[in-house]
Amino acid sequence: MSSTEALREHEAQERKANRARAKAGRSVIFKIMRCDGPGKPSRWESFKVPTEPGSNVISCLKWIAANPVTTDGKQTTPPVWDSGCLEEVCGACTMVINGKARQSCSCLIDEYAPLEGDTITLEPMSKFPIVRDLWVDRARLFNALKRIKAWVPIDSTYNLGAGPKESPEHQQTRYKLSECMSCGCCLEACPQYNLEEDESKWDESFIGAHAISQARLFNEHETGKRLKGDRLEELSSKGGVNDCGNAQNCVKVCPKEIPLTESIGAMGRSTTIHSIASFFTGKK
Amino acid sequence: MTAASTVVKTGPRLEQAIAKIDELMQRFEKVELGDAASWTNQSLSFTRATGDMLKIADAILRAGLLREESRGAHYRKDFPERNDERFFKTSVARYNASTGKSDIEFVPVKAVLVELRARTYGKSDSKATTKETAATAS
Repeated sequence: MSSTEALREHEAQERKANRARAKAGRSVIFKIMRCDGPGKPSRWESFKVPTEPGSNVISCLKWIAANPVTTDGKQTTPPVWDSGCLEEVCGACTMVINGKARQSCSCLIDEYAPLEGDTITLEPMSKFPIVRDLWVDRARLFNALKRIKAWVPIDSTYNLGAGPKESPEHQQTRYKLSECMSCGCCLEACPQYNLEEDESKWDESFIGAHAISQARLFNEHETGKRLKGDRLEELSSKGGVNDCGNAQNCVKVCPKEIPLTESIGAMGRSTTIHSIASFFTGKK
Repeated sequence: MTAASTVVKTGPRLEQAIAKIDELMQRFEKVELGDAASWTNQSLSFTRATGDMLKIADAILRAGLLREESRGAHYRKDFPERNDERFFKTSVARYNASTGKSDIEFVPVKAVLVELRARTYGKSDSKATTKETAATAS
């Protein structure tokens, strides 16, 4: 068992144990990092929230928004957060919960705060420009997907005929990679990926594990392969796969358990072959 | 809305829901925002959406109440049969700015190529026959 698997197993056991000893009808404390907008100072605010079976962080945030009174009895504004699907597939509600990035929609209170008065800490992700409170702007993450052309080049203007065949084994490998929801957990955990508010520097800053993995996904796609050269060229340039410091935090926090380090390894190999080949052939 | 106007409906329950929506609309007139911020004010967009949802809910309830028949996913306990004579029509809700509510009208459906028949799903028991009668009565 790898250390990542052991960590995941340990965390799963811990959550299961918490769920088993969760007290019904308890109230828990939410300690939330508040910020009124870009460039404004941050502050902590605590809220006491009654729970019900199956409560999650979003449902508690909704309760706080309806009753925005801190534990000190001070009236405040409803906290602001971003969310979409509420079933852990869109990635919009990602925030730092008890110090670790994950989706707040799938974060069950029973697993994190099983006893009366237990505290759950919510912070916005630190690697992206803040919008307000727990809401961050993940534009740089999507810019990285543009950099590596994370798409299949089909524009539907002409008929391409039947698609190429794919073996079930190959499909299984790619399916796992395709589960990436661009949430940003891997970037929040990455020591090489740092907050960069200046948009003009995004194309030369570290691209991030998610984009490297997506480059692998689309390079392995029979039609997506056409842009392989462009993708490897981008990954060989500044801020590409070489900026990875091999901390391996990304794979530990990925909510979809995508083998990100394997992808980084595979792309490192591909870029090396690409560079040597283009050195001798002069072709990009 | 979940209790009054999903698949199974009754006239009195719909009327009760319409009254409730009306009450909520009146309360909405004097709604107050919990957040006065001019930057990413989610309370504002949510409050606007709530007002729109009340109008839509009112239109759905009214159309459901006027459609005194059962058809597909619209099942009125007080009118369990399909009534093609009165309701082989599309419900159209038009927002009326003077009342703040929607006016419902029924527009006939043009279906010249398909002959109307009862949906029996292959059953031919007595119950299905009565449905057939109801459908062909038009």
